[in-house]
Amino acid sequence: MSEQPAPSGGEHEQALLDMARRASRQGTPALVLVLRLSAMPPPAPRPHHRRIAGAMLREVAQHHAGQMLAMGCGDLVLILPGVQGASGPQDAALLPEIFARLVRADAPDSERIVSVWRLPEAVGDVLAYATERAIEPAAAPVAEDARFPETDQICTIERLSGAAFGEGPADMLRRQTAVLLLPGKTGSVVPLFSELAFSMPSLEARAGLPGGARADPFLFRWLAGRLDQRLLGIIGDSLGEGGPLDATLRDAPPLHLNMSLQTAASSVFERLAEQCRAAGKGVGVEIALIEACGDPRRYHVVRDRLAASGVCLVLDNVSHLTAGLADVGGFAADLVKLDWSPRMAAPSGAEAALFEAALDRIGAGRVVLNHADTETAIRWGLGRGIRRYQGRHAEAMLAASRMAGCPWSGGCELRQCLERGTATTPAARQFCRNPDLLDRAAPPAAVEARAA
Amino acid sequence: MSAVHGTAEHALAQGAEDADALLRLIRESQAAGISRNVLLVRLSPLPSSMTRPHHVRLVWSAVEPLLRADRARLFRLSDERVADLAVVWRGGAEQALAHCLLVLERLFTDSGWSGTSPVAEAMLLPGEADRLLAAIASASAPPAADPEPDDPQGLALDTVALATLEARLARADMSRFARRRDVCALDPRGRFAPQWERRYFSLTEIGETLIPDRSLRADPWLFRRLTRTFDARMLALLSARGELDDAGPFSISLNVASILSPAFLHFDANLPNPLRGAILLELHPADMLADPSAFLFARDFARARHYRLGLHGVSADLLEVLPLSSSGLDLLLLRWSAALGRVERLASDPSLIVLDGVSTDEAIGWGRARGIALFCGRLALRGARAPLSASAWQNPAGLRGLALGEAAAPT
Repeated sequence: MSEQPAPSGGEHEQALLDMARRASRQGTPALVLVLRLSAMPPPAPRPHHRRIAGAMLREVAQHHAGQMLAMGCGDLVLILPGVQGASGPQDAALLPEIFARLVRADAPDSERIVSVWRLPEAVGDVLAYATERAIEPAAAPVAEDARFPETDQICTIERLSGAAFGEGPADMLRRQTAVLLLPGKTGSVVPLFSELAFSMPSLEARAGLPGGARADPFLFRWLAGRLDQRLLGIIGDSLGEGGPLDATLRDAPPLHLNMSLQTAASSVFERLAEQCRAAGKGVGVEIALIEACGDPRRYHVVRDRLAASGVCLVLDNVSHLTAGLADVGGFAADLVKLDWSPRMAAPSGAEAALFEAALDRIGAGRVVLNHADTETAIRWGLGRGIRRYQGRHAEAMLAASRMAGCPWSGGCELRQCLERGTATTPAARQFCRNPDLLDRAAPPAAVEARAA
Repeated sequence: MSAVHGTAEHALAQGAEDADALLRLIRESQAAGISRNVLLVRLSPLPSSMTRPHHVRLVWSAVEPLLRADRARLFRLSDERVADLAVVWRGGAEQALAHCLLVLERLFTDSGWSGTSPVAEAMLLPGEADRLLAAIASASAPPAADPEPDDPQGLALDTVALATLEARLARADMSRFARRRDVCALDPRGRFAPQWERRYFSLTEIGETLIPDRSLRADPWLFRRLTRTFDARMLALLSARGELDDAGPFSISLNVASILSPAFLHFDANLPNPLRGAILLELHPADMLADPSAFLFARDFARARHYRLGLHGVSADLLEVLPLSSSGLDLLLLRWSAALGRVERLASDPSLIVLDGVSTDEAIGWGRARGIALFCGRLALRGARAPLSASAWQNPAGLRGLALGEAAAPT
């Protein structure tokens, strides 16, 4: 087994088409297995999908004098000549089940990833597939993993860290406000808390990088720790200044900050929390699940201290997969931020059962559905009794609510209000004629429609 | 010291016999009245400041002339880098012995050793067999509990140090850092029987040799990144020609990304057939959570290739929140600690647990009381060291309840 298959520049597509045409003319028997990696939803297929699948197919091909072709779109094709009827080598016969199992976490309908055709009976299907590939030999997108090789990753993280500690950090921050959807006909939207964090695209742009912050998850966690400390310092310096970075701003929802366990237990944060309390404001801490699992004992100590100080604790970065692996409910955080994925709308197999059990244990009342960027996500959440949301769609609902209550909204677009609401610098809000409304904790009352 | 001495040390270590062979020689000497001279060198009680690599090299250098004596045999009493040594020879070599004792006395006196027992002792068999046996027994008595793995000393790695270390690791001869430790099953009569070997690198020696001013573990995220480099080097070692020709069942620690790497595919493609199904891959919890979809893919791929899968680095607290049943892995390597000793009930099936780091009777007792039968650590080194064949692994009469996982489809 070796490296992942490289694009052939159309040769493999042509080879497949030639084989299909020959089979059509001569009736030559063969087994054709197509692994449709191109059908996997983003961010799949990842390099390891192609590498492992290619190696497995190549091994079977070698055992049975067959051939493996790599389509430019990312699909892989195994051809075993001479296989007739329902017979065939056992190792090849087991491949569909193996691949379906391997990709089920990434592909909602994993059984449809593999097509098995027997020639000459299914020559029409093979011809159609081969013709389509030959006409449009599209290049498979290069996944993030492949764009940022290991040798560059440490340097990338260093540059990102340096950029965060450079001048004008506020330009690289983003604010997202979580909302509470109140039940009822009108479905009011109430700001719950505002999370401040570094925007990765902005940070990468400042560092002059095309990306790569998340290429290595552990280097990213190291970077996250550095960014958390930097942000804590920025917030500390902004106390009393007004604006979206002021944690003591009256009538604004509480600020939430991402933190490592070490930072959450630090005297720097303790001082910030004390100053917020003195101003009558709450503050929240968001700790990643992987951070909490790294030192559960320390997590529980930090949790108890935060609870005693009246600080809200959110367990962050919980996906439907990690919720099935770890006992998220057992961490007893005040809130759990569950990252939305379209896979959650159509779960399958054992992972689905684990996830449902985890959701029951956490309790819908403690879930904040994060990355709620679509109506589908909101509908899924409401169907589960979830009332707290964070993401683009939630921001849009909040912006719509603001505009309904803003006497100056006549000249604004929803998109503009949304962007200004998430901005962290005065420059990005300069055309808003009611900027105080952008930071309000309570929804404004709707104004009466004005005469044209 | 020059590279020549380092090479000689390595060669000597390769030719050393183990503690069981020394015990047999002592019994034979007693039974037949055969006279033998013995030099016992005890390094294990010494503090780490006196067992740096250069100390160990000087000891080997001092001992080497004795190996030219009549019928000389060298015994290494453990697999640790800092291992107690014994040299046994037929007679003569008085001058070499006197010189060796003088060199060793000066070496450790100059280093500040003022312990009650000498580092090196000369004895004569069979008359002093009991004294030698007592010295061996006290030398192999359990030392203080293994230091907590998350109790690092020294300055933490930063990104610059990490990059430097990765570059050095790429050039280093990793075989000198390679270690093995048995995982043993404990039968109802209290005897250990090795089930498989854990193969790993000595992080202490890597740190002391390649980046002595830093603690490898102090920054947990940079350390996890570093383990990927260790994985690549371990896979390269294991893929070397002949390395696994006579190997028995073993386990290695790998990251998820390493299982999905070209290096692992190469290792897998060249795996001798008798070892197929006899290897355990140990994963770390953080790796599982960092990229769960890749973890699930790697898990199912490894299963399809007939590997067992385990979770290592599990503490008492993590056991509560990371149940083995959710991950679908075969077993769990639970790290012994004083905190674990206060846990009354286990959240997981004890037959699926290896109690790791056992260096006290308390650890063994705690594990046995909770139904754990698999142990790894300094105490679990006692008992037979004969390597098991792969077929014994696949017919695990000595392994209670090791989950076989899903029926793996052959590929």
